Amino acid sequence: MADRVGRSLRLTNWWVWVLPAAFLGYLFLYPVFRMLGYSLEAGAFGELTRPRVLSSTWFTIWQALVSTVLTLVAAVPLTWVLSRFNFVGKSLVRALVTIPFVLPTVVVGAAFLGLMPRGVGAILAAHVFFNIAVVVRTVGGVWSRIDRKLEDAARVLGASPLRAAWSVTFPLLCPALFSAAAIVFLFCFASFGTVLILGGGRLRTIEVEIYQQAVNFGDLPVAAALAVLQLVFVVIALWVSSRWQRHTNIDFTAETALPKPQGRQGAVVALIVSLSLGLLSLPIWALIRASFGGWSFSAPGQSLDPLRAVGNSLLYSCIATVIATVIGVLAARAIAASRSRTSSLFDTGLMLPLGTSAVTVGFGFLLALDWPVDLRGTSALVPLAHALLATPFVVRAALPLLRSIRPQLREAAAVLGASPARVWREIDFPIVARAVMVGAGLAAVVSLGEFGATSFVVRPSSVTVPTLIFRLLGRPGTASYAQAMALAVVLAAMTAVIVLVIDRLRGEQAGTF
Amino acid sequence: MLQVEEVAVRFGDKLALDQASLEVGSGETIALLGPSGSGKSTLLRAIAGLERLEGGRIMFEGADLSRIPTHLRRFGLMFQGYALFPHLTVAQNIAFGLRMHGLDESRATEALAMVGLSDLASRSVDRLSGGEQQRVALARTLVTEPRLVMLDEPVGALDRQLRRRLIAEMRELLDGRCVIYVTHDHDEARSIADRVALLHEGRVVQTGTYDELLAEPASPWVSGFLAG
Repeated sequence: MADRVGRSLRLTNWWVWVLPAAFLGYLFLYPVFRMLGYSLEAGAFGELTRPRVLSSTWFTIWQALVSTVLTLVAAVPLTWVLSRFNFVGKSLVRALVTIPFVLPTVVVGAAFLGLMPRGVGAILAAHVFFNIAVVVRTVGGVWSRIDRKLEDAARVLGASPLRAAWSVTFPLLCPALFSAAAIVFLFCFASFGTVLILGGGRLRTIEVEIYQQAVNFGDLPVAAALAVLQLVFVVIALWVSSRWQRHTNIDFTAETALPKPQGRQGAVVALIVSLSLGLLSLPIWALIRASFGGWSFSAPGQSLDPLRAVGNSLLYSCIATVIATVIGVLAARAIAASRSRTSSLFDTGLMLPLGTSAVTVGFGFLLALDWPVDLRGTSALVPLAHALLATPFVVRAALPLLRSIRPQLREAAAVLGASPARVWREIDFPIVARAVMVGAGLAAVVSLGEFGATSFVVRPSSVTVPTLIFRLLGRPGTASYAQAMALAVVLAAMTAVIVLVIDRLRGEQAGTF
Repeated sequence: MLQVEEVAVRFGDKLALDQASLEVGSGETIALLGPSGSGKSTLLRAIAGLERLEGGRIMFEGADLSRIPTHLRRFGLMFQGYALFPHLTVAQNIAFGLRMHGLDESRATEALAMVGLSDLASRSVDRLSGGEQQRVALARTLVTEPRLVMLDEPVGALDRQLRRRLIAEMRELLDGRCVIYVTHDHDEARSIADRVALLHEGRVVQTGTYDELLAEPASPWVSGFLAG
């Protein structure tokens, strides 16, 4: 006998797929296929053996490796302190460590420009600065949950403190270390804004090479082939890192009360904390110092109007946040409602634009979005690109909570008389609302600081703050330089405000459902 | 009042309900008794409209329910584990069904008093003891005056002393209503229900008063099960 109830329940599940799937398909998969077709047609893959391209590829790989190793070396002492000890001001230290990670790449680039000359050293330092938070967060999360008694047991069995750490703690930390290293490697591999600013045009990652081939030389087939190559690299890296991540999901003990550092430990902890914070704040001070004299917001040219750029950035950020929130919530709902293979594939698919590299997204837009209507001449591409790159953050924020809602709660609401739409409004929405706001905040941050994709699709009338900073940095004269730095300070401040709000929302989030 | 006619529900390649039939009269309390995995909860979910029927039909007051979605059936179901809404307070939990049906929400206050929890009205439900949670769930189920009350092991998670007290309380509250009461505890079934329906591997194998079942078991399995 037909049962309409069961069928209508499933109906509500498939329509939420449509919008996110169309969004991802049109703005990401379709451009990628167009790029692939375009470069194959032009036979551009053969051109990838040019010495110039090879040297960019080689630089991309080795700088990412060295940056990763340096980041680990710099971050491990701080991670140890933060996950093994309790001390006054610890949460403040943790928050300060996170700030570099959420700073827009252009701001980080500008900050290091105020600190040291362009070159390899500046690029590596900026990458370390940017990524320390990744290690502190991912490795610290595991480290603080490793039972201290394990090391104690090793000590009782005759191991020296170092030996105990090496033979017990280190092996348990290894998966987390590798996982963090993979993420840092990926970020450095796909680094664009920082390298473009600090590399001075001579040092190029594949991302920068794509930009120069497309924008400076107009060689679109080679740029497309490079974008496909970049995509392949990134997919491999993502796959490897997700495999490691799975190993990190071993459940250790709950976070236990941490001891205060005692005696000589206290001195070591103080030294590590002050040294780390000192080094991390150096670029920020350099940025602020260099911005003196740049606070007159006069516009040297129509497309260089700082106030207009700030207005544009705010507007695009609002639009992108709304789009990303709607798409992200629908997608999270679709993924949470089903445990099938398709849903996990969809999950990965939505993550891809984030991992792929913003440059590929921007370039793909430029190449493909002339169908069915030519969007390339409009400024709509900027918020669309931002929304695409920001959606994963909303999905990531909402998904765990949606998954944690027991199906029984929705059923209980239905039995009590709530229609399917009402169940969503009364049960799901209130439970995920806060998480969605956190996701929306992250989306706004992503949009405000986005540079890679924007640099391809931006038009004189749609200049954003990051793209304007980049332009000003490229102009001769100290006035432009100071103005760029001042704008970078403004951008950093806007970002910091949103991050602080997010942090508060997150802190209040209590309990799981 | 309620007629379940040869209902089948499938989970994958296993039939959770296999031609299960049951009748509940007006004002009657019937206990569904059976070992775990026999399909007791699934039968309640099917009656509530939460499971897709592969065969058979469910009638209430002479009307076929198959085209009526869960939220319009106006039945009460108290879930095993209670399924209290964690983002709502005690009072909001109880008022939820009243709100959905557009009924007078002040009845929630009376219901709270009825289960003796007036002091806890604004408390968050995850800060309640097991016994308190049970009462909130019961009040939430009964406050809308559902046409049929279904209780899925309503005291299963509580200790023995508390169980005995709550069963006595519940007997009063359920008096005169049309009730299906799921349990795997023989004494509980005997003390609370007018009749007992015995479930085994997705089928209702025998119905009658507990003493009738004891006196004339329909099969060796029934006598074995009742003997404990």
